[in-house]
Amino acid sequence: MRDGVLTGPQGHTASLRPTPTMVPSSLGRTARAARASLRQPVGLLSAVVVFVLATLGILSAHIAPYSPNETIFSPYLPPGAGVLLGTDKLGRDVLSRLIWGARLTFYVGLVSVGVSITLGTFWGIVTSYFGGPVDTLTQRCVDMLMALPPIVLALSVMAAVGQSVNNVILALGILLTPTAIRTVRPIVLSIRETAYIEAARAIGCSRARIVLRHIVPNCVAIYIVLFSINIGYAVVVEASLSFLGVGIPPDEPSWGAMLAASMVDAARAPWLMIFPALAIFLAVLSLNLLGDTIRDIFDPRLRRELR
Amino acid sequence: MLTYLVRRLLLFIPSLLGASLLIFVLMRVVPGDIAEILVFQAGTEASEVQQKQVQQLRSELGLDLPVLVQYGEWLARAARGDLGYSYTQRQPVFEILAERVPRSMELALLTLVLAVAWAIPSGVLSATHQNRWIDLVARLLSVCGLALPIFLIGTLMLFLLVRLFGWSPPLEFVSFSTSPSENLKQLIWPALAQAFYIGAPIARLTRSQVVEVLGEDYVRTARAKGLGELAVVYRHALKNAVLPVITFIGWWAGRLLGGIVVVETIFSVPGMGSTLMQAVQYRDYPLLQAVVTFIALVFLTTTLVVDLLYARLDPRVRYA
Repeated sequence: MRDGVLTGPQGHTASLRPTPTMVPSSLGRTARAARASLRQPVGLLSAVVVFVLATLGILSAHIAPYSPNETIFSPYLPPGAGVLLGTDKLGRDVLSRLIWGARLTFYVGLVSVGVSITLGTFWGIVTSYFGGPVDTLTQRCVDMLMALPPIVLALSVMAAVGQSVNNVILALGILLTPTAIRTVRPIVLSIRETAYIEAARAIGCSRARIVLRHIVPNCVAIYIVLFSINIGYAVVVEASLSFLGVGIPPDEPSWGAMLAASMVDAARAPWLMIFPALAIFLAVLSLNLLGDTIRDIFDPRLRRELR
Repeated sequence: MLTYLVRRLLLFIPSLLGASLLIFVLMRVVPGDIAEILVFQAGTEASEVQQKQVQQLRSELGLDLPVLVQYGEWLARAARGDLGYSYTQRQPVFEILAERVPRSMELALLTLVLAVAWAIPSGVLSATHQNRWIDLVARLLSVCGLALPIFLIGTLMLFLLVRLFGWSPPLEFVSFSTSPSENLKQLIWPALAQAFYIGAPIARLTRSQVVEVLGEDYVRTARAKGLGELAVVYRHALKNAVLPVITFIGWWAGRLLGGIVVVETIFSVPGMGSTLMQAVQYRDYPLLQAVVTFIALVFLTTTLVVDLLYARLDPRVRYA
């Protein structure tokens, strides 16, 4: 039942079929995407927010007024001049920590999604196309990994490997790779049966050529969709793990961990809770909306549900 | 249908075994086994005596055997209800689970009831009042529910409760059989937080489904023959629209179980989720193994039941 169904992290359930009308040149597609994005004000706005947050992250060393881990002021200073968003219980500047947190958030999100979706898509394409024992083994492994609720799987992985930035990326990879494999499988299986693949085989194309020239290009749309809708999800999982105290190590400025730490002092220093909460909300909301928009542009048939 | 059932059951058992094996192996491939953690708990330097202790513990616990043999033994014992002994809680894992699972089940049930109670009416209302203010409010709520991770909803809610109402998380859990009202007072907040979280996508799907069905010919027919709006919406539209919603709710079993881990931690409910967190933090492997396997069992059973229910409810669905 799960085959043929893309169960996106935030509740996009829709059936997937390959796109028959692929635009011949990549330039045309880019232009089309750009034009479509102008017709999507929500998508455009969320893209702007994502861009701003990402820029803050990339340039954090230059933008952040102070170092994220140094005690510079007295503890629990309320927001005001000099310390725009106040200080935490160790006298660290909240604004600087949030800006460095953006860097961490985007780093973990992009690296984990980039590696696992690319790997999962490619692995899924190759094994589904060739079939055989490797394909069966892959599918059973995916079953195994999908038999656990995502957050429980991530927690178990973190329990085994311990807290660190790279281990969070590893846990996310273990969560996301099976999703990609499962999603491309029905698409590859249906492309395999089309007339143009038969034609390619008939004129003597090598199997590598068929996969690379005929199947991979047809999976580009779903790859982009998978990539964009999973970044918001990865950010949520990272923040959740850090919030629960098993994700990013405590000395790194993670939004989730900042929020968890603020719970103790919420009564005397509400700013410690409000600003990280706002940062997470903004990032997740804009990443999700951007993901939705990109999905709509690249595969309009996915728009069916949840509109 | 029968073939479908058999095929699904054949998939169920290997998936469950696979998940438990996965956790089992995961806990053993990493450096620092249980024996070392137990002996070096104090964080002292490794002395001769301690090395000996580690060796002894390893052979006592069977950790010197190959992993697959260990797994076989664990499985054989688990099948007989012996899930091992928790290192941190100092009692049999089975007893811990027996005490805590009912609490989580109650919380999950309460969450589902509340989620359906807000999501379906709000979805229907916003579909019947498209683009009016009630629709906008309902849609805004569900977009917020989608963008706010569960830990954020829980934290904000706890903060508001504490600040505005002077509420504080209970120190001791009161079971439903002892005092139903006290018990509900403790569980209602975590259930509400989670109901908001899992209700958002349900509300969105209900809206889009009802909007679609309202455009159907038979709805126009129902209106044409002079039925009241209520009868049209509830008898004709909702009944046809609700089927995908039911499946969808089932698909969110994973979200529900993951959410339980988080809200139980935030609202300090001593259930399965907070047990899992303790097991993770203290690397209490026997406890972790049992809880995770149990969660996988619940997750897989829910998915299976929903799939079968779907085939049963919708006569148009045919499985080859």
